[in-house]
Amino acid sequence: MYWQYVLRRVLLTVPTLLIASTLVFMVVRLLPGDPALLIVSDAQDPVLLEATRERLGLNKPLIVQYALWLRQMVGLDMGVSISTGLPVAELIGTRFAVTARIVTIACLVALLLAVPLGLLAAARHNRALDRGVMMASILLLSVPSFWVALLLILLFGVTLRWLPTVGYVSPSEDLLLALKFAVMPVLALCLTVIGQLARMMRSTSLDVLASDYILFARAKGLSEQAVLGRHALPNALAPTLTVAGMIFGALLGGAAVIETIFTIPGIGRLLVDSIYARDYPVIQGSVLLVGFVYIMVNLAVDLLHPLLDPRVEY
Amino acid sequence: MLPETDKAMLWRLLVHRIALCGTFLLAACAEEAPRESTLRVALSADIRTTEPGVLRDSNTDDVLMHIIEPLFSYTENLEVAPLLSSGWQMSDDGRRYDVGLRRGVLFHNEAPLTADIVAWNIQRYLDPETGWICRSLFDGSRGLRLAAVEVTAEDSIRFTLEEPDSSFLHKLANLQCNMGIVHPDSLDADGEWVTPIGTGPFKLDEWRAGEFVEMSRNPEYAPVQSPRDGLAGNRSPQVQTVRWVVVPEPAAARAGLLSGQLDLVTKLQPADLFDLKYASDIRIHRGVSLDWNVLLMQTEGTVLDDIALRRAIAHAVDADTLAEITAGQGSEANPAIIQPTSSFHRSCMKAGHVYDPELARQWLSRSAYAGQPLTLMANKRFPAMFENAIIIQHMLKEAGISTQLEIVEWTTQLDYYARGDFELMSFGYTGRTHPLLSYSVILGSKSDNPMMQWEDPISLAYLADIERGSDDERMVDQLCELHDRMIDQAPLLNLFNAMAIDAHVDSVSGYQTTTFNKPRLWGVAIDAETRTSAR
Repeated sequence: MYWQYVLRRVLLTVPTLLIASTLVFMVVRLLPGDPALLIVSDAQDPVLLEATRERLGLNKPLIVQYALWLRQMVGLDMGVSISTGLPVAELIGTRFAVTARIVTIACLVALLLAVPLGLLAAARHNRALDRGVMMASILLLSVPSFWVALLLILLFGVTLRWLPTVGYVSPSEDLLLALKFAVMPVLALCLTVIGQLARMMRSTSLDVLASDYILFARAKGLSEQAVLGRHALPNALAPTLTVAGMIFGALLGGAAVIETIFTIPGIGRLLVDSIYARDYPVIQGSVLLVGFVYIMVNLAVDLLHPLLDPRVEY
Repeated sequence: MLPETDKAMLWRLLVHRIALCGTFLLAACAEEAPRESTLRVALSADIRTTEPGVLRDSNTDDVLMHIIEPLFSYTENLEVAPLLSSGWQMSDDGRRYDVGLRRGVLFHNEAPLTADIVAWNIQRYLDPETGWICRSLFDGSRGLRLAAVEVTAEDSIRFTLEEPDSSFLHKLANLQCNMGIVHPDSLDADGEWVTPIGTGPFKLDEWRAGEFVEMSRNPEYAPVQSPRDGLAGNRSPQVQTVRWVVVPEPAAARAGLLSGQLDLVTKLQPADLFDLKYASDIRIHRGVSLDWNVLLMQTEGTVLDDIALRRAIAHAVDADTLAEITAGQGSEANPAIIQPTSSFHRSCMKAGHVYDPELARQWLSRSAYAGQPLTLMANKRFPAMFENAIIIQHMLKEAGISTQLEIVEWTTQLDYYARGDFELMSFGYTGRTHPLLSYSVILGSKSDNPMMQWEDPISLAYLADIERGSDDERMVDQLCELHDRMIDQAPLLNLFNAMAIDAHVDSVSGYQTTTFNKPRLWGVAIDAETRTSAR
């Protein structure tokens, strides 16, 4: 039953991605703008422009272009970038790994802080700690991440000069230096996420703490630590994890602003740059990859539910 | 109400989590050893390729010009000067150019520069398979036809033109074409591009897409013996390594400069200086560049085919005020398409449309304009184009001309431009080094090429005559005629040349802004001692 569910969900990704790819293919081509023109505009030469369009296959009918692209994808070939000539698979693979690393750390840090904070706030409902956590959460939710990023740069980069503001170092090159470069982007990303997750955790914890089985656990003399840690936490965590999964999936493709401000060569920045350059193969490849990962992350979160809450069955 | 022991437990839990994050932060804050011999320069977007003149843009050209070199380059006042060549001799009929090569020049793989290699490069550029963007400048489709390229000696090469062309050397040196000479080993056995093996002052070490381009000093570099001048002259490198860091966000680039993590940021906007001008350890350089801002007016199929309306618009726009507001201190209006510091610029080219709202209204009354709003297109990618549009809209309103702004993304605007599908457009052209090249981007048949802005058979004949001629004085007279005709017909409104604004930290020396608005890193040094104490 469980494996049937997993298989069904995995198979469902195929039509989902097919629909997504068709939409993306059509929408980016509906946008005004010509990638060939961006390459040769300085030459002001219509003959060269036409030749470039032909070389890039942009003069073929849309349906033919789509069929060719689909055929490539079936053969696991994402083609080459129009604006750089680099293989798309290599380009988005490298960039996705960078984003995944930063976003994973940011989400883990956010979870590590938001879960106990939300649980504590619920346990201290309507008291100073609860109000403090809620105020901080609302503040973090209200402040855009790019503004936080700029403040962090001003404080830690320009004024204190503790942290680097530009550039990126991979952990495989120098772990310590990579951490140093990751601090500010991770902080900028996780602060907003903490606000969302802490509110979610508090809300679900309040529901759980009002349940009969929590009353029973307290009545039988369990310590508050045991009540919160063993009984309340697993049940309150499941919805928070679902939200965390959605945030994680969204950030994998939506961290472009943070990536741009901190000069991180991630998939979000690549996607934005590709849209500006009308680099169709890169846009299509990136969107498909991000979509696929989003679906898989949410599937993984769904599959975690029965482990946390035995009442959930598939 | 929680028991005290549980309170303590919860607090411990919270403190533990915070401590974990704190450890992560502290570990990351450990000091990094400074890399003093490296000059770190901001690059506003990644380069497209390492192959010259094919998938090009301004950033790609900026990086590659330090690695590969053409036969000729430009001095600051836009005169052609030999770079890989030792000089040239033109035949009496103006059809043959004998170009000598400088002796002792080595490629980065230590192979010597020979005429055979130069000829191979020229043939390769002219091969349609290469996809070189300037092929049409030499294949006869736009005038000049390069009939033959022959090796006449080991260090001499002969170019034969079908017809004389006064701009031939300028076309060889053209900045947008980036006709750099590379060693054949830059390509693999199948003819596919691998890496640039040039003769330039720096060698390419690594290009990490989206992150940086790193190049190191070429120890075998054989410089021209004349002083550094524009992009010509002595190009000796003074730093061991240059790292171009991709920093797409201007605010991040400024922060990088202020925090000492970047040494040089180029192509700044006047508004960017707000953060930098009060910093005591930042030096700012400004200079008038070749890039020029214009107001395009579609003369075909729109209400702007009425010359009286175009003249009204031309007299309603105060280009001096525009220059002062948009480009800032030091910028002046320039009604010509030739830059004021160019050796081709003459006083006749200072004549333009005088700002006179009363005169504008008079022309307006003579036109067929009936008060309908004109669409003025601009984008926000290039702040000057956007700001110009806003101010022009206000100036036109003062003269009784109604406009509505249409702000689109740059790629979209370029598409409309290429199709000629606009009424008014706030636009900017990349600098051209020779009047022929400048005029050739605006003057031509709109039906053949919708990117052309000015369709005037007499002016086109002038242009063809200038192309064929070899008498400089006659050419200047013809350029004055061309300028007068352009002002009279007002097919577009030249506004002002953009300012090249660059900033670097105190420890950098020898840097100067050039009229080409390109970072020139040869002759630039960095003082390791000053730099260390500054951090």
